[in-house]
Amino acid sequence: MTEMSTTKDRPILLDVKDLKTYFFQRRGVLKAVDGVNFTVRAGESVGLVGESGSGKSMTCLSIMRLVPKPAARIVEGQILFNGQDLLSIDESDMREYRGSKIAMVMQDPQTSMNPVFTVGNQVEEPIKLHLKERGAQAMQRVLDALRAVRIPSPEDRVKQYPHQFSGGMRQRVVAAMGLATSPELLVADEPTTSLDVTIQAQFLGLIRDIQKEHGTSVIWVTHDLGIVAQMCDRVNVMYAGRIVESAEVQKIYKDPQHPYTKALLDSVPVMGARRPRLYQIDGQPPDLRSIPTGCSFWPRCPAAMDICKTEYPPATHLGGDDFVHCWLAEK
Amino acid sequence: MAVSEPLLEVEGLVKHFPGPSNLLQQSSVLVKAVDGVSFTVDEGTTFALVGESGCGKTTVAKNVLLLERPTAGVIKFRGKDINRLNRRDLKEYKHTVQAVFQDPYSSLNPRMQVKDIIGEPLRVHEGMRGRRLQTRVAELLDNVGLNPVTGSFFPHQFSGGQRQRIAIARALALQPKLIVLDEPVSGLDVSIRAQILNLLVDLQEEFGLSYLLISHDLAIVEHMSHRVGVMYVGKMVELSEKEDMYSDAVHPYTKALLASVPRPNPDIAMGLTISGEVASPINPPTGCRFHPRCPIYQDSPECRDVQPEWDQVAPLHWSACHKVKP
Amino acid sequence: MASASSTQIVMTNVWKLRLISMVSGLKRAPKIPTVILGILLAFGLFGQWLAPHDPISIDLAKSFTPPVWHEGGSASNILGTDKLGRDILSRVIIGSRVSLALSLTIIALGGGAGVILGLISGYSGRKVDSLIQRGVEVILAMPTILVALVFVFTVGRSFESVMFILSPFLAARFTRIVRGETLSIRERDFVAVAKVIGTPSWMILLRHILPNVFNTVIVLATLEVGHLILLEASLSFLGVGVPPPHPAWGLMVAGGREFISSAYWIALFPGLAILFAVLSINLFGDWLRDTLDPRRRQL
Repeated sequence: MTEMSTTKDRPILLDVKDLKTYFFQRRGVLKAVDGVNFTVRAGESVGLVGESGSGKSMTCLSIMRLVPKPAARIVEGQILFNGQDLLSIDESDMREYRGSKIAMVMQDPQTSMNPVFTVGNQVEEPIKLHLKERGAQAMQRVLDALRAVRIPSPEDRVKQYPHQFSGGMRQRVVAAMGLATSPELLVADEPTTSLDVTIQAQFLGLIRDIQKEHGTSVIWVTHDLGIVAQMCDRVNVMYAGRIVESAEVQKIYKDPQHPYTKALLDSVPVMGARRPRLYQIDGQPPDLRSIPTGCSFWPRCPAAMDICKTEYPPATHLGGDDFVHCWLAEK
Repeated sequence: MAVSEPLLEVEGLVKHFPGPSNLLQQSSVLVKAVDGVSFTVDEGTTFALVGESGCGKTTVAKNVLLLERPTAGVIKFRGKDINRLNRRDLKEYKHTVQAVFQDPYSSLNPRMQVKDIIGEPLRVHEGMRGRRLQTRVAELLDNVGLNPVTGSFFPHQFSGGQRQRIAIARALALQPKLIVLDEPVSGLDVSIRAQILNLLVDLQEEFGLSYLLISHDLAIVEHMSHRVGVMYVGKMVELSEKEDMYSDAVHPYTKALLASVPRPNPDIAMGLTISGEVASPINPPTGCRFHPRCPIYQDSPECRDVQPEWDQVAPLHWSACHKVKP
Repeated sequence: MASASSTQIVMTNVWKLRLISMVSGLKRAPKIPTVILGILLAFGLFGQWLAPHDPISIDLAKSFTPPVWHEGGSASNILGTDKLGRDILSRVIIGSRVSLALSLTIIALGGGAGVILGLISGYSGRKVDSLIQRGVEVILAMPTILVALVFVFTVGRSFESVMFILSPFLAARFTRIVRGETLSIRERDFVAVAKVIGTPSWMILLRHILPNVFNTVIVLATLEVGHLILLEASLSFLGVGVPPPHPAWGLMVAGGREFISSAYWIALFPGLAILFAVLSINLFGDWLRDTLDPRRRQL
């Protein structure tokens, strides 16, 4: 994106260090997140890209400390938010962060709202809870929040129930709920997958505007490489619970370093590109209960070498915050 | 092109459903899911219907598959109205036209082994049994890139992409001419989509198949199709060869749709977005159904009150818009 | 995807593996319920040879003999005797036949009819559906016990009349539930594909819908067996069940009611028999459901 050069030098807002979130099941340990490192700077948009099971959603839930208990547990790592480790504070302090400093928009606007309360009530809740405002003051803030997400005639809409809203409008309300308390970080977990193309475009534009206005940092979780290219300053590509490559958005699309990133970019149909044939990544993503030894991508990698099968490649730093985990880059 | 007779002709297809009714009274509103749609599919080519939710593209597919009966209009297959076929021709039609649906978890019976799933059309139509059936099923599994020994597995033992391969194998079993592909890859992961799309292209070449592709993904439509029809709330707004559609779209809705797709290239910014919601087929706007969202509408009474007619804007390229005339 | 070597095994030894899986599946069956059910089945089939005494022979000299572990109990009547000196153990053993035969027959007749009606009702839609559903509603609106009382008083007390009156109630319950399942399965894409292929309706019902409602049917059937045993007991208790002197568990509980403070064993042992039978059938049903479902079955 255009502001790319400016976000690079901003202070670090979120620093995730060696995060590991495992599911403990009867059939074994499922390593959903297995040593994830990334940073989000103030005002930066960071993408977490990957296929289902790559651990991108679980990474976000870990940041929110909302991993499904007791099946899953964060077993290791640090999540530094403005220097404070979110994993070392107790639950009541965490509640202060959740919804006030870190907000989340989830995939499905149908289930992320309660059908029996009015929209106004639901947007008001985080305001009451975190800003300790009541009555007319809180209502004013609700209206402001709905206006900020461009919901027409918010005075009437606050009295309505979620089922009276279309999918796109509902997702805006969810965004309003998250943004009403002016959080510093917004975690957007595939927020547009259930929306139509034109409605998605509206929503993306909206988030971009809000971000410009308030300087909110955003983590975009998505499998859509188009959304990443349009919305992010930095891209983290995830595979089998790890980030395999992290780079500025221009670099990722122009000069991907990891074979998986390359393959992913070549495997999607691109409008106007007239690809005669799509690049095909054969095989399946690995079973997270038995991740291959060495680099987890080697069974599907066209450039796999012997060392890839035995040892996980260390991070090769490529200047700035960029890094890649691949033996090819190491050489 | 298209000197020979088209394989499938859809002429003025209309499908209205009764709207949501309550316990006490039948609903008087109509859901105008499809409201006068025409197109043709030529042999060996892919025709794509593209549009947002509620545009009626899936209803068109269901009518072609005889899962719904049209309210008005005719669907002809090789010149014969498919809703007036005699018993023998109907059997022949079901033999020739197959489908692959979006959700590979819902489209395979969880209680049946893969070989029975793929073998079902062969058993129903050709009475195939025993060794012959087994050989044919193995051959079909091989065609879609699955190990023939997996025939005795149950669907839950496969991943989404493999399930979609099974669904494709079943559709191929009777050596059909036309396969209706209803969002064939939208339920799949990115890296698996390429496998399935490549497979579909290969099979088309190998067996001379025609596809009727239903999709909301404009990039996939561009990659797969030869001709494209864009639908909006029950109407087709633009119809042309693929190349024309993607380089010289004329209808404001098509343009908006194309501009709304986020390109996987940070240098191509998303174009202007259009405001407003997708209209509902229960109470569609009068005149041109797109006028409340149209960027070039400018309060024209014509757009508001009169349904636009088809205009040929270029060879093999039609559009229905008052503002854009040839 | 399974590796090539394991698929090879499956290919060459399907039947052998199926046999193994059946046997190992049985091994995984819940032990205690299976054993209890086995015993009950043996009682039902071979009761007359297993029972130590004639269950209906009266010996007033032995009336109210307590079980063997009480003072005054005798080893020949291990569980004691009732008012007329009939052996409780023998009556419980023979009584299993009536209870099980009755409930299984009703399940087979009523449940079978219910499944068929439910499938037709759910699949055909509109007219046929609403006709069947009105019928079901009428039956379900009737108070079971009351109707049974009236019916039995008019036509007389017999095994057949109990069967005749309870079957429609059961059929109605099955119809309702199978219809609901059918309605949801009918909307699945594999049914749409079958229609596209041209699979005849009866075949869609038989191959695609029936196997997918089977889970529900099994669960319902096991729940209903328990329910029916209890219902038979209630009817016998009210005096409209299977006619005496034939031993039926419900009847025995009813007969023991007035002596509950002085000779608890008359009501307790048939009561326990009902409890264990119902419990075992339910647990066995759970296991059966899991075993029949390919998603839960693991080789």
